Amino acid sequence: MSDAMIIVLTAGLTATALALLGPFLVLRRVALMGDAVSHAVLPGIVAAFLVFQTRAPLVVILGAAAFALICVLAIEALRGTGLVASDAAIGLVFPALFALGVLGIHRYAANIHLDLDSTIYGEIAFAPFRTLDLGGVEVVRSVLIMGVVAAVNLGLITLLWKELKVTSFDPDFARSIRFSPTVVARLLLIAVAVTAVTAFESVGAILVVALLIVPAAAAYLMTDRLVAMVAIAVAIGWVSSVVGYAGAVEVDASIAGAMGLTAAVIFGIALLASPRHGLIARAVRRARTRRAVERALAEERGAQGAGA
Amino acid sequence: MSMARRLLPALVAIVVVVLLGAACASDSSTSGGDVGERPVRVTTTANFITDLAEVIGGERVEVTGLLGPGVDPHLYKASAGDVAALRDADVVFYGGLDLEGRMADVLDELSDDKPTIAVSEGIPDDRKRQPTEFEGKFDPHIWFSVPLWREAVDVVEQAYVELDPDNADGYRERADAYRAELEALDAEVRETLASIPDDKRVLVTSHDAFGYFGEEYDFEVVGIQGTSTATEATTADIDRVAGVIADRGLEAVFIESTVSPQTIRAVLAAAERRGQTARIGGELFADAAGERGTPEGTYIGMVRHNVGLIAEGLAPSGSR
Amino acid sequence: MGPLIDLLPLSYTESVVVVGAAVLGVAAGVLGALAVLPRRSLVGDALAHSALPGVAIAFLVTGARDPASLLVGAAIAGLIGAFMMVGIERTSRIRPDAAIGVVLSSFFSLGIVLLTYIGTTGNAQQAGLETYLFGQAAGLLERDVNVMAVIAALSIACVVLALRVIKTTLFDRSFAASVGVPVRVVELATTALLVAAIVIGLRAVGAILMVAMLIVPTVTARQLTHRLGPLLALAGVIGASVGATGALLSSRAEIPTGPVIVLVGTAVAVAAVLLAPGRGVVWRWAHRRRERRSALSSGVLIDLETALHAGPPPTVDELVLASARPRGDVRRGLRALDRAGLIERDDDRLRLSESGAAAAHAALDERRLWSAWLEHGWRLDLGDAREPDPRDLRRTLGDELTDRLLGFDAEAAPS
Repeated sequence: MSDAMIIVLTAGLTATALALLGPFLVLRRVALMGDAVSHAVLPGIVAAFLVFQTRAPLVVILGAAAFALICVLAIEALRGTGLVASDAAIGLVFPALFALGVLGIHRYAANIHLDLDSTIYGEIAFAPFRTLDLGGVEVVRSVLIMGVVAAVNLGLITLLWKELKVTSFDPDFARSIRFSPTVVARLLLIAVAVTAVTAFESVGAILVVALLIVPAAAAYLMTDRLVAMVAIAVAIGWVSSVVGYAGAVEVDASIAGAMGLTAAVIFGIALLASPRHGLIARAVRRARTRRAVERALAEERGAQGAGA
Repeated sequence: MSMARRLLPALVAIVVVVLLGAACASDSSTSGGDVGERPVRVTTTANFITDLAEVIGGERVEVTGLLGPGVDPHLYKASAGDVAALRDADVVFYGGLDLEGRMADVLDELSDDKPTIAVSEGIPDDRKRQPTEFEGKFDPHIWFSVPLWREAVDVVEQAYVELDPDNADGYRERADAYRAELEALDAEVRETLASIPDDKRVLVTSHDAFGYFGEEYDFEVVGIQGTSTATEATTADIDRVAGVIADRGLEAVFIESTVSPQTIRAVLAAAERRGQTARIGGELFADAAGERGTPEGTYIGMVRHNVGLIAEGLAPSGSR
Repeated sequence: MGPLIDLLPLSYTESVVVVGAAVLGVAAGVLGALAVLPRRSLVGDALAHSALPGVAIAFLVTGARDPASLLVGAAIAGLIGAFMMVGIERTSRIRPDAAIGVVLSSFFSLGIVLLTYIGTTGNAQQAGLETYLFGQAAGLLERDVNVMAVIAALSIACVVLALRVIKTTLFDRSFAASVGVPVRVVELATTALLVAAIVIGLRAVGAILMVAMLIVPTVTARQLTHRLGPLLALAGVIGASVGATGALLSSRAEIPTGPVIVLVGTAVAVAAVLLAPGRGVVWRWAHRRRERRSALSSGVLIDLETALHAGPPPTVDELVLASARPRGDVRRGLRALDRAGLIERDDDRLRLSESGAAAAHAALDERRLWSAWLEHGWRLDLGDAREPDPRDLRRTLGDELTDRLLGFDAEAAPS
């Protein structure tokens, strides 16, 4: 298989893993969870490096995952008090964790290059070069990892489908039929944390943040059905991967950036042209209503004129 | 349960895609092996390594540099074309010692297919600087010491000779000539810097990249913060550096091409309060050489530029 | 700000940083409320990311790394980004957090594409374009402090002059429009001011501190008041104190300023969420616990009264049997009653004290009133359906209604 295929496949599987979760985050108003996690993992990396003195991917991922979990659970706890809105909760937690990481580096590692870019953030362009020897067969690591994560996420949302659906739309009703919205929310957030960290390692931060939000938001503009929303988000993720890669090759630019940009363009198209919620459809509907009202008024005036 | 059945095809699809991708890792022909008569394809990271690879390789090589001028290796973002550049190369030269961050893993894996060579590998450990906290984590900025960079010439020469033995003589000739040039450069640097009196041999920069320069040419290097760009300075750092400027009566400090000049300005303001007015003596090339085609675009030009600025800034006015 | 900086008994650098952090705190605190209340808290984060394409385009246009033009580029990109966020939110069903997320990731992706594109053009000036714009708190310059002071003054003036208008636009757009408030203009002006503050703040102290400083003061103030005017004033004060405290602490301890301010701010906000009187988590927990206890002790009191009514003074064990409560609960209830002097112990037999008997009767009355309310409350026909406080029906219903309620109950009683 060619390098291009591997890159597109890595991106597509990453997009699948993320787009399976993204719609629930968008519905729950915590779309920026991915961005929060991308900053909050810093203290985990510092801690892992201090304990094990290495930047080996597995150690780094474990350290990062620990703090990703702390981050999402702390946000959920703050939000759960009902005293802080979810967006403000995100904005309180991740700067604090990042600041902790910066202090850690200042105290223990000021004289080596230890930062997110040189430890956890991967680069999708290098996916074809990173292979793993599994019993004599050479496999592409990022494809394997992201494939497993995507499959696990698919299994998770399949198992929890009803619960996720109910708790995303109506937490009070969920409570009344004895689903615990907190437990479901926590499971979802744990999946987000683990997925984000493994995806950072494979494709870098910006692509993860973008693919978690943008396809889901675009899908939200296109449908009212949850199943359709998830499916459309995954599809947009794949289209962004393929088109973005082609675009990146065309202008010789960053692959992750081009993929994120493609997703943004698709969002723009959805915003304008979505059949139900798009700006054009709305404008047409509004114009039609206005014409109908005018016609009705004219007819009424005509009737009155005839009557007089 | 119906949902589970509905999603089953998707699960199967993912598994198939993964098996497809996992089972057949790239079969793209990696070159390597015998180069024969065609030019040797070389891929490099930082642009002063590109310069080195071109100088030693001469007509026999085609060099692709991944990092353009002005790109900090720590902040490098790959572009789509870099994949092919790595895949098609006969040999890859890079800085090593964690200069390239995450890319080091990739180059390590690539070494199964083709030689990937850190130009710093020929330098014995006792000539490398290491921070006190971490054993075995060396400062990667070796190119600021001309004699250390001379070691890199040997590494590149050796690699070319092994790869393309038919033309070994050419490589040896060019390497010898370049070593002579570097020796001359080293002498020139020492002579230029001789105009700076001992008590003024203090290089103030925003972060700690010039350690090897200081050791080689007898400068005290004062960075506002350590090597890490992920941490921040403290007010004590600012006051400490301002104190050095005031005590030593320094007239110039330097900014680096890859770090925000804000903290240096704060230091200057604090030094002014202590009665010592210093100026920014110019921008030093830190982690990358200048533009291709300009004098600063080569290693030698970059060193001359830096040393010229430093001498101009720190030498007493009369001697200039 | 010069005189103030000279006045402080600190080194010049420390004074600049302390004053600067305080001034930044005021501006970010007041303006932050205008972002946090409409759920756009993370606008600071989004603008930090959207600066990248602005800087890259400014560089492509001018071909040089000139700080002023890069700053202008970042500001323009920030403005466009902010207006896109508000636009997406207003014209579609996308909610603020997702709108911010979409703008953040789109702009940052564009920035990276542009950066790698510039990278292949081979212009050496591009070095550090992305880091060039972000400062750090310890490197604050007097000039930046002055600019921040102007922004802070402007935002305070703006808020004071237009509090009414801002309030109606924030909380009730359609009403505001209907009474002739130029909603768009107000929103445009406040957004522009916010963007200016954020972009300047990013250059002065960096992204993470800016994100935190926009959110912390409002979240904290919100726990202490629910009125907009006091909230804005409080947010300014909290921002200033957090900034100054963090800066002082960090220079005493010789650790990086920005992170310390962030952590001080987070601690303050979390403390407010936990401890705020009448609202905080701990307060609510203590309140619930108190209520549970008082319900328990009055229940045990009634049980004891009933037992005494039926026979000789019971032992604890007999009371447990009679009351059908877990033994631990009965013991806990008795301990509380003991402390209040409502019961007397005669060897191991329990009796009510004089005040205990009165309290038991009061509790019985209250229980009767409660069951009367549950059964006959609907017949009172409370006009505005204002629910009375279940813990104190007599006071909240008033004597007249209470008597009617007890009257219904007496009528219905079979005796």
